[in-house]
Amino acid sequence: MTDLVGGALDRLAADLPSDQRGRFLELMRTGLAEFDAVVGPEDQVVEIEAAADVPPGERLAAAERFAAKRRAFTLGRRSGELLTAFAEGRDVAADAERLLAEIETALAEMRDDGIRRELGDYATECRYVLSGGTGPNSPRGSKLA
Amino acid sequence: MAVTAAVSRRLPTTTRRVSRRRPSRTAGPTGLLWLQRTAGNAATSRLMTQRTIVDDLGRVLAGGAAALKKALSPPLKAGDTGPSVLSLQQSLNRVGAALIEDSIFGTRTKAAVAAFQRDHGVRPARGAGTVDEATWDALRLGGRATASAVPGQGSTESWAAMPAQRRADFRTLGYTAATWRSKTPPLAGLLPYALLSEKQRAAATRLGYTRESWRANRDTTAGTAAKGFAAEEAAAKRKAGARVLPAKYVGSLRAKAMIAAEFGADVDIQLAKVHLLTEAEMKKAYEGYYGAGSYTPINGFTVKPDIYLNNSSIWAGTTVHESLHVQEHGTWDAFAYQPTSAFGEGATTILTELVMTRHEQPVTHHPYAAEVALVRKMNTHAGLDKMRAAYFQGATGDYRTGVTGGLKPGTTWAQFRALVDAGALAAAQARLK
Repeated sequence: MTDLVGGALDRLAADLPSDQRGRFLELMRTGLAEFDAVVGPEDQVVEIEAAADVPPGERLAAAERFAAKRRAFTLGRRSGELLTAFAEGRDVAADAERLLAEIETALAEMRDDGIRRELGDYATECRYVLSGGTGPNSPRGSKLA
Repeated sequence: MAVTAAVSRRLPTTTRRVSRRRPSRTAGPTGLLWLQRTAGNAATSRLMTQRTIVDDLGRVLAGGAAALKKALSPPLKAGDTGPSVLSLQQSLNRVGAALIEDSIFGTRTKAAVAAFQRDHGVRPARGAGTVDEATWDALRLGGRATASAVPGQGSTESWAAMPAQRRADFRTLGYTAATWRSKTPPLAGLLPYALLSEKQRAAATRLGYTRESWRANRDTTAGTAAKGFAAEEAAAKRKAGARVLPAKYVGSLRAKAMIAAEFGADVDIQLAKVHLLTEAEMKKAYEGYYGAGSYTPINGFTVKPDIYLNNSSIWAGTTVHESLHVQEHGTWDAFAYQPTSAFGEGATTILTELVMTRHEQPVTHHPYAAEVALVRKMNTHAGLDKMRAAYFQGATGDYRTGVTGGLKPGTTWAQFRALVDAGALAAAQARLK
């Protein structure tokens, strides 16, 4: 079976300076690994090829953003699941503490304001759970909880 | 006549008494000397001031309604003082400015004038913050300068070809062939319904006005519900004073109406509770809320069902924008499942522009370049606009029909939604026609 994803990544990496290729592939694979199974290889190729419009000189930075966004997305989904569980009355305080620590680590590592804002939302959601439902919540969290 | 009587009632008692006793030969210096001896310098000075006003009013009344309207609309600028400035401040307070009514055109009054002009599309020749006739007209409409008081506005019929009775009715209310589509109403349009003559009321009724629609300036032809709420908002703001305003009236009533006019068939529009914050409060609240680094303060953000607006830069579009977020996260299923804040911001920005363009004013008036830049920065997904089009194709109908109609063969709604939910936006976009 042809490796559609690998082929697409190689095509994009081919335009890059040799010292960037390895890092580019690593970042893209890290980001792609965050996808659900629902996003199959063909859909992943579409996601990868969205980067084809990015000039080669900016492609490594785009890959960093892609990986960061995928990471933030996963943290956001976990935070959403946490809120749902909390709304169902389950004791998820320990989970909330763990997730909050992960989110704060990500916040410390990320520089993109948009992604940091999203992460801030998720941190707020965790703190909402830890407050027992009395603290402020994010817009999404207000709906879920 | 009503104006003269009003001025007379404001005259100091002493001055009026002296005025009645004044000999007929008082036009020259002899009369003034007699007044000074009888009533003193201060009362004479007051009388001369008031007499000037009355004389001016006499002239303009002789000149007709147009001149009266002009006299009641004096050009004003920062530094001016006196009764006209007091009237200006009272008018601004009626639309929620919360100024101290001290008859002095200071910086706060200028700022209130500029904000009002910005919100209502008034552009005086001498620059924002100066008062011209158009500003007075807009203020007399209770801040409804952008709303039509004219049944003819937007009409495609011609003055010459319309039925004679309709043409006569427009004339009865003071309109002409040149002005019947104008936003600025003639004198009759400025009068309370109770003061209309029987003939004017009959004409107004035939043109489609009711007592209520005349009062609230509801446009019977455009059907945009937003226009009807201005008076209610203004009254609530006046009653509340200062910046502690009843939350639901800080623009959100109009925002709700505008959003409902656009999307009301799809969703039960939720009214936002609005908080006004200062710049400093905004920054503190913003950072406290997000707890993530330092961001440039934005104009507003949402926490269901509340929205927080920066009182130093509030604009109707911001209220609409944040109110859309409330729908997004509250009752609106269309993109409530959006995977990222960026998508929500981008979609909400687009919808704000749509709503403002259709129901308020062109978005070229949007004064928040910084906010737009921030949203654009966040919104890095190239396919957002296409997805928005898919979500809201035929927005007043069923958005899901629009989406389904926009999918490529072989893709189901569930698949599309699963991809969006997974954050694979490019892949989801690729499933659209």
